[in-house]
Amino acid sequence: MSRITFVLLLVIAALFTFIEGRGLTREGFLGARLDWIPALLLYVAFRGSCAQALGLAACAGLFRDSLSANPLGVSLIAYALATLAAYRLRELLMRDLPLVQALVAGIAVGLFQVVSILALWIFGYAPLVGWETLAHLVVLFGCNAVMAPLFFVMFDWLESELTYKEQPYSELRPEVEIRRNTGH
Amino acid sequence: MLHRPKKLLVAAVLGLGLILVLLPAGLNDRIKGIVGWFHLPFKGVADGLEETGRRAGTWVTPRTDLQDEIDRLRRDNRRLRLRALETAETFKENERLRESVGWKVRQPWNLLMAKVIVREPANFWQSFHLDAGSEQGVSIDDPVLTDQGLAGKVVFVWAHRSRVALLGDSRCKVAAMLAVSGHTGSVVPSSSGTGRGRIVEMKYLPNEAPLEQGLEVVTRGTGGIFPRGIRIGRIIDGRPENYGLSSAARVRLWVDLERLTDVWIILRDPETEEGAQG
Repeated sequence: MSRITFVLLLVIAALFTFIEGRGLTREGFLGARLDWIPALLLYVAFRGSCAQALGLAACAGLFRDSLSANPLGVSLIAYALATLAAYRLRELLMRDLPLVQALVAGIAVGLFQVVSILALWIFGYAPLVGWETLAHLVVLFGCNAVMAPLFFVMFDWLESELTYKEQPYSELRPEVEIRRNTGH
Repeated sequence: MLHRPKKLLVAAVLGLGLILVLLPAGLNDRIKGIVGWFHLPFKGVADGLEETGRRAGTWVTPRTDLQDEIDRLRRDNRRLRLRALETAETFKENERLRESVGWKVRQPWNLLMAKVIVREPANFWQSFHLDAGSEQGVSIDDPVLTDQGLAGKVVFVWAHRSRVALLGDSRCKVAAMLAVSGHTGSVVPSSSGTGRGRIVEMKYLPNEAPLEQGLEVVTRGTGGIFPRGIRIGRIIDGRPENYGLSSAARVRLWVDLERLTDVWIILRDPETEEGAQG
């Protein structure tokens, strides 16, 4: 993944956390607060380097915790672990298939939620967890499963537009025409 | 297996997360304030768009509608002024009676209006940020309410921003009572999770407490944070708990915490604080 795409993804991650903080991503029926960052992290885990994936996870975690009642660092750890799991598995998966992208994004958001809650419990906090949490997980799974393939299409196109395409080397140069001397 | 540089990178990222989480709560929140600066450009753009939308709205609203609204507000204002005069007289009379009986004289509330600027993005907290902080006189544990009832309390203060734990959050437990019968209990988070910003539980009620649907729950005023008699909500239903030793009830809040945009903060009077400390 090119640097410019990575920087754009960082800005988009900050924008997503800001939109979530503005309360514009509330799902009315089950009262879940939507989070699209896991789908974004999945794209970087499948297409980028380890440093890019973990860098984006760390920044997105910090951005999110800065607006949340979470202690700073909890989302960083949870996003980093979810991203690392996806990065480790990427060679074993058919990662260009939209179905695989959707499923792994759903699993990643579930992993993120579970790790966040466990980390909060371990560090002595009391998050609000009940049967509603399961409903939230279902909504988040669905939301990220839908968004992940879209992100792959969108950012793959962006990456192709923002970077030079490698040209295959050939002895044949179509722009050069050999003119034969016909004797005129 | 990951190569050595990658392992170091993973350790560095997870180590950073661990260090940040293990920092003392106050320092952790201060760093949060610094990281929050990254959102300022977005906030500027969003505020600008909102303002433009508001102005566009005023252009398309007919002048007659605006005039009707002004007339209605004027009438409301006059009616409320009369009510305030009446209340002030009752308040004075009440204070004279309290003084004669030897009870502590109550101070009028010192209110500050604040706007909700950030809502909680995570699904396991009930909180938001307000656009008023220590520079505006806000301090930790200041009660936050609306004209409908209690919303929560301030749990952290930056210079121009503060974080509020709402009713139903594990950091905001309120000593409460039934308005009619006076039975006391404690308002705690809903056992189902966030309660979707509308439902909390009242626990540790005595068994004889009437838990009929619609009974009003108000603050008890004994914890030293919330003044007595602020409306919290209404009982939905009740059930015995602790093997029948006490009762608990589900309470529907008056305030819809998910839709709040403006709130009031009850500021502490510095003179009263000094007096109390002295």
